[in-house]
Amino acid sequence: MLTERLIGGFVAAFGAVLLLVLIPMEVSDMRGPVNPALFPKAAAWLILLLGVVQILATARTSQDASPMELVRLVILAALVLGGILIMPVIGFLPTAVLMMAAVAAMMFERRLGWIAVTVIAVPAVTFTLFDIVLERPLPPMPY
Amino acid sequence: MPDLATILAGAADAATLSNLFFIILGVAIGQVVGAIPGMTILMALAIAIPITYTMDTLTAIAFLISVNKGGTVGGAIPAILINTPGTPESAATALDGHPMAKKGQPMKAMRYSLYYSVFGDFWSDIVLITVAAPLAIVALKMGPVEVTALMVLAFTVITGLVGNSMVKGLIAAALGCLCASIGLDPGQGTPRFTFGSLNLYDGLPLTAMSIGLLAVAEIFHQIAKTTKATAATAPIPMSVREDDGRLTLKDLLANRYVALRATVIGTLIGAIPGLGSATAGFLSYSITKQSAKDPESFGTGDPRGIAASEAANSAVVGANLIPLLTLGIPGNIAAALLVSAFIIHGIQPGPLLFKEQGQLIYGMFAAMLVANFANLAVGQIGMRFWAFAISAPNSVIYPASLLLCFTGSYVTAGGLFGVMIMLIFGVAGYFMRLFAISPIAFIIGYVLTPELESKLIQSVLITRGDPWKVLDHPIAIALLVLSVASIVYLGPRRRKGAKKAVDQPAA
Repeated sequence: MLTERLIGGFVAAFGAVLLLVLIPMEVSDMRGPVNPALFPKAAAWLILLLGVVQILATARTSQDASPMELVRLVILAALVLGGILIMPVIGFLPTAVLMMAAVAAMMFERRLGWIAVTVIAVPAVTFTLFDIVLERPLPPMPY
Repeated sequence: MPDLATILAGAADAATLSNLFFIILGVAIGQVVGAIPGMTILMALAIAIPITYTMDTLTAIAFLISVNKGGTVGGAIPAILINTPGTPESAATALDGHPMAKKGQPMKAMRYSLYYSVFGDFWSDIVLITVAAPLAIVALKMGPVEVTALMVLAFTVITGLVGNSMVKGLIAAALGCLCASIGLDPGQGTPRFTFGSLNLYDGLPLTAMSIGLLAVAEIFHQIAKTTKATAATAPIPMSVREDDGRLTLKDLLANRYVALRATVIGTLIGAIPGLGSATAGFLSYSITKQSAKDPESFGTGDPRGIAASEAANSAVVGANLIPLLTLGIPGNIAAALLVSAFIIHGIQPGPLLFKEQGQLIYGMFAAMLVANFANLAVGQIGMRFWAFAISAPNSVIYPASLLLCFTGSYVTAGGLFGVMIMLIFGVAGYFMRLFAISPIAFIIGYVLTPELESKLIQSVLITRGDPWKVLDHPIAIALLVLSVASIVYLGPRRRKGAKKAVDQPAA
């Protein structure tokens, strides 16, 4: 119940921020057949009102996640973000190898054969598929 | 309605060697992915879209539809062998498929599921091919006011049917609507929510966003929940022998009425936006069991259970393209992903497709029929091999999928901006899943909004801004009344089921 109400509160607060801050800042309010702000405003009002309705919700539909799962999610997201930041510097293949090694470690993989598949074969196959077969250039290594 | 020459030219296009190759490849990929528990067809479709970037339009669409069709067959393999459905829609198959496998007939159970799955899929495609063009002609007669009202109805029905709570479904659709307004507005071309970034002027890239919400969110969930204990789980022992799988035509024909009824149920459910294959499978199974003279035999390895589930869940695949091709409304998430593939190739789905791209559409129909036979052939040969995909370790599957998502987003969105969008929506999708806010309603809201906005602009111009002029459009009024009725009917109904249900993507 508390989780459902917190979700409702967060959604309603987001709707209010949209109406009071983001839409006035980021959307032009001008005349025309349909005001460019009409859809964003309609969506924001809907989000605000539905958030309020959700605060009154009685049925629990959310699931729970353990604190450890959330910590691992943050690490995983940070890993992907790290990949985004370093890929232009060191190229696709080294980034992919590092990312795969880190994710395999996060999944507690200790078998050398499977680690080799994940860390070496998967990046190599992905690079071959996109860069060579499909001819979509991926960031090259700088050396 | 396209002439015979267009239809034949489309069919000839589908029969090129490269198209046949990609159809077979798509079916094989779909079957393998479907066989891996935890990997959904939606993930496979989202990951496959970037691969179609360099293909021509028909090849790309045929490949994606083949992945979808293959997935419905593959999902039954783990459902039968280890009582763990590879995809949500195969859950009902496990009820009788697994007991049959436990009796020592896993190959027989898998063959039953393959044949009935292809049967349901084939006839559903025939219905699609037969009714889509006439319905598109009717749809073309509707003006902007009627189409606007129809889209409002689609919003309410879809948000009411997906997920467990209509309020959360509407929240998701409103968020999708909000995200769709990022970029230049269609009326006057003024920027909205661009925060000074030129990348956002074209809006959010749909493919990267879909990959994030559907594939990355699931991968994050699976990796984040892994513990040392679950990682060390021993592989499941399996024995798939050839000699237990003999199946005669008589065996198959014994359940012809069950399969036929299941096909009708699956086709009807597939044609209604918002309902998915899982609903069709369970509804058909339940009706078959209730109408049987010996309901107690269900759950003990009765082939009628497999026929009822597989024919129905596969019949959804063809029928769910009916609202997309006739009205431009993606009936479920697989259709929404096809929209992104159409858009990548510069095509806007909707009733005009039959007029402007008749050859492509009939090529697609022919490819769908070919894909059914490819599904049968690939399944016959590969089923016992795909069974071993179940034992592939998660420590390879999920990192590999993550890298494919990363690379696919990079390629389709033209750089790291796409990967960043994928990451943001991957994390958002994780929390949406956790809080039971349907990503399906979000994506469908996102896909429908630009069309809704442009039709609304046309409607305002036609009515000169006078809302009372809507009263001159009785069809639009009827559709709006239906929208209100769907909120009144579906809202409380979903609340009742909320306690036991868990948000399940409609494939």
